[in-house]
Amino acid sequence: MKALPLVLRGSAHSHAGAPNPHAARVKTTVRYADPMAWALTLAIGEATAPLGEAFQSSVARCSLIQMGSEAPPEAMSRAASEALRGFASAIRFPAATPSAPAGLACIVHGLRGPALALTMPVSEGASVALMLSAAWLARGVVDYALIGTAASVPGGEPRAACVVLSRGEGPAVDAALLVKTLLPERSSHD
Amino acid sequence: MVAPVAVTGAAWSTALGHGLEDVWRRLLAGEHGFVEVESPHRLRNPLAAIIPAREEEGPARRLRRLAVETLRRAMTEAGLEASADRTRFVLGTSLGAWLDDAREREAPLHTWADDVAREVGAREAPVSLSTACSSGSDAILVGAELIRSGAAEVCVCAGVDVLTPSKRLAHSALSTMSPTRPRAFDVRHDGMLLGEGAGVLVLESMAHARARSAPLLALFRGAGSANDAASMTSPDPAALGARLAMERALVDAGLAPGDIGLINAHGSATPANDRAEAEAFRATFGPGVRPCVFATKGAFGHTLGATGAMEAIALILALREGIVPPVAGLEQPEQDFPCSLPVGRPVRHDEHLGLSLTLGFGGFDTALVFEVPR
Repeated sequence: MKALPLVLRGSAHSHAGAPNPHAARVKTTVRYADPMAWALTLAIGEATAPLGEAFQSSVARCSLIQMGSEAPPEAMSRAASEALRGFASAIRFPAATPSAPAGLACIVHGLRGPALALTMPVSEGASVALMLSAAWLARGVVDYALIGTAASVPGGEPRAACVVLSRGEGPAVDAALLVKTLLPERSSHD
Repeated sequence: MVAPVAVTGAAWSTALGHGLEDVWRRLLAGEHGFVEVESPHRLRNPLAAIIPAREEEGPARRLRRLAVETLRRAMTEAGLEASADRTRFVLGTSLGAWLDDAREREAPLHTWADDVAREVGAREAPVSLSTACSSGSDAILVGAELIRSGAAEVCVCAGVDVLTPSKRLAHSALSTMSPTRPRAFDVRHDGMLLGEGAGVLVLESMAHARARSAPLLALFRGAGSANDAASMTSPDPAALGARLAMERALVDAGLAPGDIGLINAHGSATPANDRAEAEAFRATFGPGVRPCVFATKGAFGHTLGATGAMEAIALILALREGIVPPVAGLEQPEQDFPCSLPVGRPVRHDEHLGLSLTLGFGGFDTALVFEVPR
């Protein structure tokens, strides 16, 4: 893939067990979210924090693409088992949708750019996510583009990673770099 | 503004049938596809808009069959082979069969899309996505971007979803399900009823379409997307996300609000949705511009991950035929609704540019702009 006029502005990895500075702030609008969704939200917070005011003033012009082939596991399994018993939770059903982590992250961080959930492995979705982000940045739809992933960890807390892209010249950002940054070691993401 | 993309094929599977023209005639006649559907659970409403089953099949198999059948019809109409070079499939669903089939739930999310693409003969793994009820619209948005970027020459973009017990139960519990009938933008609106279906658009670069003298259904002019960043279930009352999505779509298409004559609204008939959409249209189109707004969920039901693609097709047909179907169920429009509405009967028009707006749980808002040259 040819080099894109993008700059990798930051990245972070996080997990759902990390201290959560956001939950109390949004509890009136988000009564429940799957731990996987929180993991992605935390990773986004850590990846964007170093950008400070420059990012905060542009959150309405920031896109988010969530990648990965897992749905929020806790919410989905509970919603499924509850449905078998003839019960549906009005908070767990929406939290079980594959795009719920991106939805939560947008609420918490105030992201109002385009948002998507590609339900495919990071290795397969990276080129698509990069193409979309580059197009939105190039056309001036957004100033920042986030690409993230979240996955369950057997016996542990879900983990997540996020990269921040913006316009500019610099070292080439290609799909291989994106995968390597999001997945520093082989995991259940891939 | 970027170069338009050709729409060279379309197909849908709906509760009103499968043929583009047959279903269109039934929409114009104000028909709906709701029938009583048995449920193991107590629901607010037993009605749903289903596609009659050919055989006993679980939701996972049904999802794949609906997708495969509809994709094949769209490809045939476009005169294209699924296995052609630089053809990419972009497939979206909301919750598909994941909540109602344990094997489906345990498999990777893209398994259903891989199965569908393989069955229709695709060379490459498909792009699969899910953005709740915006999935069908986002499949089209992504496909168009793949073509514009040069990554593909042809994109076959689908939204598909099936009615399942868990979805009926959940929407009943959420009170998004109407206890009566869907009446989008009506003073008595009290919610939606679920449906199932599939919508497919074949998108093609203009150069590729011209080189093979392809049939041209419409031009995809642009798309815009945004997130409400407000709630996991309710649209933002100020509708900032929907406004941003429409504004971005207009900029992308190189158009002004006054250029848009026709809008296919999300029109879910929940009071919250109708209020938010009215606010979004009021803010985007201003007092001097009154595009005609129509909606199809009163006929097809809310087909969740399929709805955006089905509505894009309805918009294209409305532009091509110069007539808008009535909003099924709408009798007394809300007095402050900012646009004109087709009430009780079809309305003729001479517009050639239209916009389709879709909203989804999680705040996913997407707008698509199409043109049918006169």
